[in-house]
Amino acid sequence: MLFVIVSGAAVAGAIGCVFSGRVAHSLLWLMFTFFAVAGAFLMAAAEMLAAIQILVYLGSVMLVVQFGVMLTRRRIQDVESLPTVNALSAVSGIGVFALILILVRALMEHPMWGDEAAGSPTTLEFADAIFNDWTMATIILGALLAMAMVGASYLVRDERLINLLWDMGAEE
Amino acid sequence: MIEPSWIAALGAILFGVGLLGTFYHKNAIVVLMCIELMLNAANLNFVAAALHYGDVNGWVFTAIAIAIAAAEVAIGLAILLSLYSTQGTISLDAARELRN
Amino acid sequence: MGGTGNEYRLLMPLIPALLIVPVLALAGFESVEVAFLIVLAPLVSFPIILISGQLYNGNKTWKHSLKEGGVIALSALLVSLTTASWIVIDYIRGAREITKDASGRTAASWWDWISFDVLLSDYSLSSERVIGVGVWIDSVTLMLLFVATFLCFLICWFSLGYMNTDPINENRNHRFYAEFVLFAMGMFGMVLADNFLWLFIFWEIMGLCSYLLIGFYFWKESAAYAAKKAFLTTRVGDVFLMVGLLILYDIYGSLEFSVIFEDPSIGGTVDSDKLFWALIMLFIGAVGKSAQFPLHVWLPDAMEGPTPVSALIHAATMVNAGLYLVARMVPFVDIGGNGVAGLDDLGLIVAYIGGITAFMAASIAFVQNDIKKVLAYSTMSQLAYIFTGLGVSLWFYNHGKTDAATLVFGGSMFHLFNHAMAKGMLFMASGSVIHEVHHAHDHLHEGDDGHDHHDFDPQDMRNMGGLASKMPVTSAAMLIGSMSIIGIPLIGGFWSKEAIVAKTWKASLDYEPLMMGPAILVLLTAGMTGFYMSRMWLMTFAGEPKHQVIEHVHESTPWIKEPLLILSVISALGGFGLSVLGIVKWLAKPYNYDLGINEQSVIEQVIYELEHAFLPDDPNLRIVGWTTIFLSLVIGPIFAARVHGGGLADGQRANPLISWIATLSGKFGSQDVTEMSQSSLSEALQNRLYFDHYYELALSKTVIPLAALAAWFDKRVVDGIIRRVESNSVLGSVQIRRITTGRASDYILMAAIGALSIFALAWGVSG
Repeated sequence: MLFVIVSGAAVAGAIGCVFSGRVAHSLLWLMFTFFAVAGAFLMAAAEMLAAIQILVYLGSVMLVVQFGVMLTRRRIQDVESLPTVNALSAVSGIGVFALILILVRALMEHPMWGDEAAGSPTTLEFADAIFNDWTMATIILGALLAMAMVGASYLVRDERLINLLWDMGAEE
Repeated sequence: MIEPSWIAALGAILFGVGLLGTFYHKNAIVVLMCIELMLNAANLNFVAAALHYGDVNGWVFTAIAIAIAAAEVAIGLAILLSLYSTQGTISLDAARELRN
Repeated sequence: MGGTGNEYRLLMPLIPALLIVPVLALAGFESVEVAFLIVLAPLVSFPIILISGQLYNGNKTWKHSLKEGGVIALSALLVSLTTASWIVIDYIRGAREITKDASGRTAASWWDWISFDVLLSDYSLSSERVIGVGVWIDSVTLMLLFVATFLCFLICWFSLGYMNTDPINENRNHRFYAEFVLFAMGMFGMVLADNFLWLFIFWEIMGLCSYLLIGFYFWKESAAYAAKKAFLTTRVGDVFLMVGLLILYDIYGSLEFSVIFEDPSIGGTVDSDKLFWALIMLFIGAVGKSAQFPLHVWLPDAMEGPTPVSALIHAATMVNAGLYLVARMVPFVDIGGNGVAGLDDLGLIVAYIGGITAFMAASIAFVQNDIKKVLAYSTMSQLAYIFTGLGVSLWFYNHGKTDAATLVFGGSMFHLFNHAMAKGMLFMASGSVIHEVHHAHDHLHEGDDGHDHHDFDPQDMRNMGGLASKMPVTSAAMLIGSMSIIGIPLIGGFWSKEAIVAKTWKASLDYEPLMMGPAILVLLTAGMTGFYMSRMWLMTFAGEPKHQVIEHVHESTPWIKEPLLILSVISALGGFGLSVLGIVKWLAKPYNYDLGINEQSVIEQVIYELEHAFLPDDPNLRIVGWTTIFLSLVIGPIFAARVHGGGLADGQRANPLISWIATLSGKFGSQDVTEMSQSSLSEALQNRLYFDHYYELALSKTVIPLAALAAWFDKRVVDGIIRRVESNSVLGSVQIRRITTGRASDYILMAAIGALSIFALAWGVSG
C-alpha cells in the first residue's frame, strides 16, 4: 500500500518534470521524483542506497543543474521549455507509451520472479563488497570523479582578457 | 516484503517517461534532467534484482551508477555552458553544426 | 655483321640444350615420357624472351650475343628437335620389332585435367568424363612433329641472320622471337595432342601467333589489315570446327582419341549423317586454316609478315594443321577397321575443294610479280594437292579399297613432308634474295639525301634478273626447291606427287566418275606449276638484270646460307631416299594393321620404286603418269623460258649447271606476252579473281549494319539504363540526406529509436 503511494509520487514527479513549462519547475519536480525513488529504495530494504541517493543526487547533482539553469538565463522571461509537438514527436510519444506498456507487462511476467525471493543483503555486506571485492572499481571511480571535476572546470574556462586580468589581480 | 518485480516495474515506467522527455524537449538542461531520470530508473532495476537474489552486487552496481551519473552531470553542464557561451542560447535546435 | 668465327661463338648456349636429351636417355627415361619437353621448352622460353627483351632492350650484350632473344629461342627449339628425333628413332626401332602391332601408336597420359560428373536424364550421376593431358604418337604425328621441329629450328637459325641484320627491326626482335616460340609451342602441342580439345586449343594458339606475326610491322596499315584479315578468315573456319567438335562430343561422349578411335562406329550405331556433318565441319575448319577455297583470301596478304614468318607459318607448319586434322579423319571412314559406311561424299568434297583450289591458285600465280606472293599461291596449290590426295584416300577407305587407300594416304602425307621442306627453303631463299636486293638498294643510295625510295619494292621480280651469278648458293637452293615442287622426276616432290595423281585417276576411271573433276584439275595444275615456278626462277636468276641495283648484290650471311644448304640436300635426296625406305607405307601404318615395313634389300627396293613410279601396272595410269611428267617437266618450263628466259649477261659466271640451265632457257625463242598480260583474264587473275572484292561487299552489307545496330543499342539502351539508375540513385540519396538535420534533439531521437529497435530485435529473437 505504502509502495503504491511512493511509486505514484515518483511517476507524478516524472511526468511533472517532463511536461512542465518552465525549467525551474522541471527541476523541482525532478527533485521530488528523486525523493520518491529514495523512498522506494527504503522499501526495498536498501537503506544505504537511499542515503547515498539523497546525498548525491539531491545534494550535489541537482545543485549543479540549478547552477546551470541560473547561469544560462539571459533575461528573467527566458524560461520557456515547452515540449516540441509535431508529427514525429507524436509518433515517438505513442511509441514510447506503447513501449512502456509492453515493457512493464514483460517485466512482470518474466519467469525470473517466480523463484522465492531471497532476503535482502545487509549494509555490512555492502561495505564488505565495495571495499574488498570491488576495490579496484571504487578507486577508479574516485579517479573518475576527480577527472570529471578537472575536465569540467577546464571546459568552462573563460578566456576573456578582462577576467584573466582580474584573476591575476591587476589594477583596473 | 515488497515484490521486487513491482520495483522493477516502477523503474520501467520512469524509464519510459524519461525517454519521452528526451525526445520532446529542446532545452538542453531539461534533456539532461530526463537522462538523470532514466539513470535512476536503471538503479531501481538493480535494487530490485538485489532484493530478489539477495546478492549485494546489485547494490554495488547501483552505487557505481550513481557516482558515474554525478560525474556525467558535471561534465554535461560544463559542455552546456560552453555551448551557451558559443551560441547564446541553450536550445538544441540551434546546434546545427552537424547539418550536411 | 661480325666475322664468321665470332658468330659461331654465339652458339655456345645451344650445347646444353643439345645435351639434355642424351642425359635423359642415359638416366633411363622413356622417350615418350619426356615428350612433354617438346611443348614445355618453347612455352618456358616465351616469357623469358619477352621479359628479358623488355628489360634489356638496347643492351649491347642482349643485342649481339643473345641476338635479342634469338639464341634463347634457338636453344628451346633445339631441345624440342632433339626430343622429337629421339622419339622418332625409338619409334622406328620399336616398330621394326612390332610388325603386327594392333594400333601402332604410343600414348602416354599424364594427368586428368578436367573431370566432371554427368547428370543423366534420370537424375543420377554417371561416372566422370575426363579430359586429360597426354600425348598420342603414331607415324603421322611423328612425321609432322619432325617436320615442324626441324623447320622451326632451321627457320629460327635463318631469322637470326635475316631479322637481326635488318635495321628496321632493331630493338623489336624480342617480340618476334617470343611470338615465334609461342607459335612453335602451339604447333608441337597440336600434333602431340591426344584429344580434340587440346588440338583445338593449340590450333587457336597458332591462329593467335599468326595474327601477331603477320602484323609484326604493325605500323604499316597493310600489315595490320592483313593480320586482321588472316585472323578473321581462319576464325570463320574455327567456328565450324568448334561446332564439329561439339557434334563429335555428342556422338561419342568424349573427345579423347583413345576413346573415339577405339571404335568410331560404336558397334554400328553411329548415325552416318550426323558423323558426316561433324566431319564436314572439321573439314571447313581445316579449309580455313590451310587457306583453301573459299577461305583462302588471307594467305597472299599474309606475306606482309617478315619472311621467316612466311616460311614457317604459311608454308611449312601452320597450314599443315588443316591437313593433320583431315588425316585424323581416316579412322572414321575406314570400313576395314571400325569405320562408318556411307561417308564417301566426304572424300569427294575434300577432293573437289582440293582440285579447285589447286587450279585456281596456280592460275593466279601466273600473273604475280611479287616473289613471295608467287610462293604463297604455290603453297595454296600444293596443299590443295595434298587435300585431293587425302580426299581420294578417304573415299577409298570408305569403299574398302584399303591397299589403294594406304598408298594414296601415305603419298599425300609424304607430299606434305616434301612440300614443307621445299617450301620452307624456297621462302628462305626468297628472303635471302629480298634481303640482299634491299641492302644493295640501300647501299646504292647511301649518299643520296633522302629522296623517296619507297617506290622500290625489293620483293618485285621485275626488279631482279641475272642474280644467278651474284648469289650462287641461293640460286642453287631455289632451283632445287622449285624442281621439287614442280615434280621433276627423281627429285623430291616427284615421288609423292605421282602417287596422288595416279590414284586420283585410278579412282575416277575405275570406280567413281565424279572423281574425274579433281583428277583433271590436278593434272592441269601439274603443268601450270611447272610454268609458274620456272617463271619465278628465271625472272629472278636468269637473263639480264633489269635494274641497276643488281650489280651490287652479293651473297648473304652464313646464318642464312646454312639452312638453305641443309634443306636443299634434303629436298633433293630426301624424297628418293625416304620412299626407298618405304615411308609411304610407314605413314599409313596406324590405319592399316597388317603391313610391316618392307624388308627387302635396298637395291630391290630402289628398283621397285622406280618401276612403280614410271611404269605402273595399269596402262591407263601409265598414260597419266607420263602425261604429268611431260606437262610439268617440259611444257611448263619451256613456256616460261620463252617468256622470261635468257642466258646470263656477258662476263657473268655462275655455277656451271645453273648457267647451263640459264643458257638453255634462252634457246626456246622468246614470246611477247604484253598483249596477253593486258587481257581481261589477266586482269581478273591479278585481282585474285575478285574474291576479296565480293567478300568485302558481302561483309559491308551484313556485318557492318549489324555492328552499327549493336553499337546504337549499347549506347542508348544499355548506357541509358545505367545513367538512369545513376540519376535516380542520386535523387534518392538527396531525399535521404534530409534526415541529417543537424539538430541534436533529432539525433537523440534517432539514437533512441535505434537502440530500442535493437533491443526489441534481441528480445524478439531470444524470447
